[in-house]
Amino acid sequence: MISMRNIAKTYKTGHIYVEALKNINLDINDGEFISIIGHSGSGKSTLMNLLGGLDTPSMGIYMLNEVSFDTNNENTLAEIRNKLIGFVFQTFNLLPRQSALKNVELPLIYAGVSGKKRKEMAINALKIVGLEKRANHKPNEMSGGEKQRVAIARALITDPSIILADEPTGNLDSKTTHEILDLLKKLNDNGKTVIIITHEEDVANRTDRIITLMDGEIISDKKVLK
Amino acid sequence: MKVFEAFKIAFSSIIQNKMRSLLTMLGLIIGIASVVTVVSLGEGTQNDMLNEFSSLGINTVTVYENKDVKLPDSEKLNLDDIEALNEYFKDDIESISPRMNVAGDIIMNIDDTSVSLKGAIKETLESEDLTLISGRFLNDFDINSNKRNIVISSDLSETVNKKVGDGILIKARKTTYSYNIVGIYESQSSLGGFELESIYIPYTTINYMSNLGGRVGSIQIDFNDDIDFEKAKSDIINVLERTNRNIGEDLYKTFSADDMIDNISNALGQMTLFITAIAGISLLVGGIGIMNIMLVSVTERTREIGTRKAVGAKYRDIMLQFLIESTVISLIGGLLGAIFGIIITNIAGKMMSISSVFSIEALVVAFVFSTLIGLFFGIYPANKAAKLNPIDALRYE
Ligand SMILES: Nc1ncnc2c1ncn2[C@@H]1O[C@H](COP(=O)(O)OP(=O)(O)OP(=O)(O)O)[C@@H](O)[C@H]1O
Ligand SMILES: [Mg+2]
Repeated sequence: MISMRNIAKTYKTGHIYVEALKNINLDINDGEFISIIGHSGSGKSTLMNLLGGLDTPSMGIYMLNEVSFDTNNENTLAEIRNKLIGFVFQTFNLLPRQSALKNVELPLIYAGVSGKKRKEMAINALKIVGLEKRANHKPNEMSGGEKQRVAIARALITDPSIILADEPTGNLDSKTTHEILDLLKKLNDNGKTVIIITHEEDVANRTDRIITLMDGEIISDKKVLK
Repeated sequence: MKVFEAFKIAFSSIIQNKMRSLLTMLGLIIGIASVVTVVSLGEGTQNDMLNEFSSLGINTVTVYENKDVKLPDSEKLNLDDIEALNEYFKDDIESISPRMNVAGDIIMNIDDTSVSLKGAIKETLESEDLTLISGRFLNDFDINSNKRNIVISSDLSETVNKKVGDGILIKARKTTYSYNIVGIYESQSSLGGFELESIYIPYTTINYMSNLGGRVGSIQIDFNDDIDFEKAKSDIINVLERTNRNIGEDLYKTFSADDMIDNISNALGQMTLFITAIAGISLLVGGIGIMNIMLVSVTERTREIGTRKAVGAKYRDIMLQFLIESTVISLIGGLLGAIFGIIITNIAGKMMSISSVFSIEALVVAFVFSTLIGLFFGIYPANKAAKLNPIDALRYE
């Protein structure tokens, strides 16, 4: 359960202030499948970063599972990113010199899981995304879709309750896009909250709820009729 | 995260950048290698000297006149002083002898050979560690009656082609006399190689021949093993000052092997310090090199750092990763340096015929220093990496 109350984010570059987000009030229940859409520069990524604890809001209250926490404490945020959130990025952000397996293991290193257990869990996660055969491949030996599946395996390895995906299909063709969406839908069916940022209407339409941002504000928040 | 994992990450990063890591280590390798070499060779030299001097007689004291002061003839060291010292120390002394050297030339048909005439008593055979190979050494009779009997070295005997019983012409103090060879001692391989051949002659003969009136150059005393050496040295001065009635004027000095060892140790210590300071500069440069490479590495891996942070790495985790990386680079450099140092020490030791000492201290110093350098020069880059904002790091192109 995620709650945001009067959240705002202002960036300061030199003497210029940019209000990337203002007056955000948002409730997301466990197990929802949500998309966030809006024009470029409307604040989607900024919102995603706040939701995932990668960044701190300039004001407002952020509650996870009904607990509001100190968004300025680096270690608390790191803890949340490690245990409660899984990120999927448009640019994959895999470590280029490490195998798929090692990449998937990465969050577990910071969770203090021992080497043997890590490997077991990583192979399992790769099975879920259908890539166990690519375990020893490096990122540059894989296609974009495969890389994104490795990233998804990494996002779910610590069994977080929330998966955040910032334009996960932005670099993929339409066939692969739907494969990735199928995968995210499958995770949602298994009870995870999945939030996707997208430009594409048909991607948004596959989710259950669409939140539209414009100039840093939520201008619409509606259920998708199926 | 466990420290062990940080080590694994550090090692894999070092291995991925073998050449770069090696070049980074170079400054440290050179620095540590030179420290180890200098310290080991210094210690080896010191040990050699110690052995050398203890074989020369650690219980020997030489008494001489203070060269900074002009002594009246009557207060110069003479045979009466020897008598007084002998009286005072009695059984504590193994032998006491005057030392006087006079330069001389052996007169021959073709070439003159320069020699050093050394005033001797019968105990000189022992105190100079001489081995007779033919004839006899000087005896009391030679000494009491100012005999012109001499003992020469085997080398000299060959050079001048003379043996026991032969006479030889030596010019000293502008007068030439004929001397009888009564004995030949075995030549010792000399340290420097430039020493003159020594000829032993009764000190009374030198005194008489040179018109010294009983004066001696210096006095050599061999003490027994069980005396208080420092006290003996100050007693010597007291006795001499009382005998010559010049108490407190500081006209006489003593010198012994341990003074020599102190002097040499001091000189070596200063030299070691100096070279170590230079090596220290190269360690500093090495450390700066490490810092430089770590900064480059942090910049290159900004996105990696962002990714690690996004999946839960804390400040401490990133700090640890980079600190361990710099420390491991530095430590490997230090250990390679120590190994090279030991190899160089052995080779140089053989070439300069110094017994090389494998210095554990030097190894420990190398180990400690390189660890400290790695830590110290790693802190700034590691902190820079660890405090990166995850968003900025992920967005870094
Ligand atoms: N680090 C930053 N410093 C200054 N301004 C920023 C920073 N990050 C974002 N902004 C500004 O905040 C606004 C929102 O940016 P954001 O990245 O959230 O947009 P977006 O909706 O994700 O756009 P896109 O669809 O292009 O990814 C933009 O005007 C952007 O210029
Ligand atoms: Mg964006």
